[in-house]
Amino acid sequence: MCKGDAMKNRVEELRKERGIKQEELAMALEVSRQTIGSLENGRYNPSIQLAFKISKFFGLKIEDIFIYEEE
Amino acid sequence: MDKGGRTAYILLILGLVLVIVSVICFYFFGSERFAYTVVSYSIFGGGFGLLGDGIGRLNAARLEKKDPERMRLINIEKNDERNIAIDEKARAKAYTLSIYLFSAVLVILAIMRVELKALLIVLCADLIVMIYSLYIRLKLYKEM
Repeated sequence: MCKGDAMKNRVEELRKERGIKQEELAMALEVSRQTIGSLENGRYNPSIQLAFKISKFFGLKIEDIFIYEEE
Repeated sequence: MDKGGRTAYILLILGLVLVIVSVICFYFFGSERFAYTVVSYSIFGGGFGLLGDGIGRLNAARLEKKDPERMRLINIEKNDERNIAIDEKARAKAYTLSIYLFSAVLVILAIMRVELKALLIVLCADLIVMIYSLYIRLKLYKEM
C-alpha cells in the first residue's frame, strides 16, 4: 500500500444496519470505543487481526467490509 | 495468592527496604563525601519508585478481584491496538527529537567550554541511544 492509497470501510454502515452502538461493537471486538470511531471516520486502518475479527462479527468477507482504493 | 499479588508485595517490601537503607546511609555517611549523598539519594529515588509500582500493582490486583468488569475495560484500553500504535509513534517521534537535542546540547556544552569529561559522557549517552536503535532495527529485520 502506497502513502497516497486510501482504505475505505463499511463498518459504520453495517453497525447502524444492525442497530449496534459504538460501545457495544468495541466491547465485542475488545478494542476501545475511540478505535471504532477512528475506523469509521477512516482515520485509522485496523491490523489484519482486527479486520478478521470485524468480518467475523458481521459475518461477511473482509473485502466486503474494507475497500482498497488506489490513487 | 496469585502471581500479580505476590509481585506487588515483593516490590513493596523491596521498595521499603531501599528507602530505609537510603535514609540510614544518608544519616551515617551522607556528610562524609558528596558521592555518598548522591548514592543515598539515588537509592531513595529507586526505592520510592518500586514502592509506587508495588502500590499500583496491588491496587490492580485488588480491583481485579473486586470489580472484574472494570478491570476488563482497563485491560481493553491498555491493549487497544490503536492506543499501542499511537504510543509507538509518539516514542519514535520523541527519539528523532532526542537525536537533534543531543546534538544541540553537545554544541552548547562545547561553546560553554565545559570540561571534556562531561562532554564525553553526553556523547557516550548519545552514541548508546543510536547504537541501541541500530541493534533493535537489525534484530527486527531478522525477526519480521
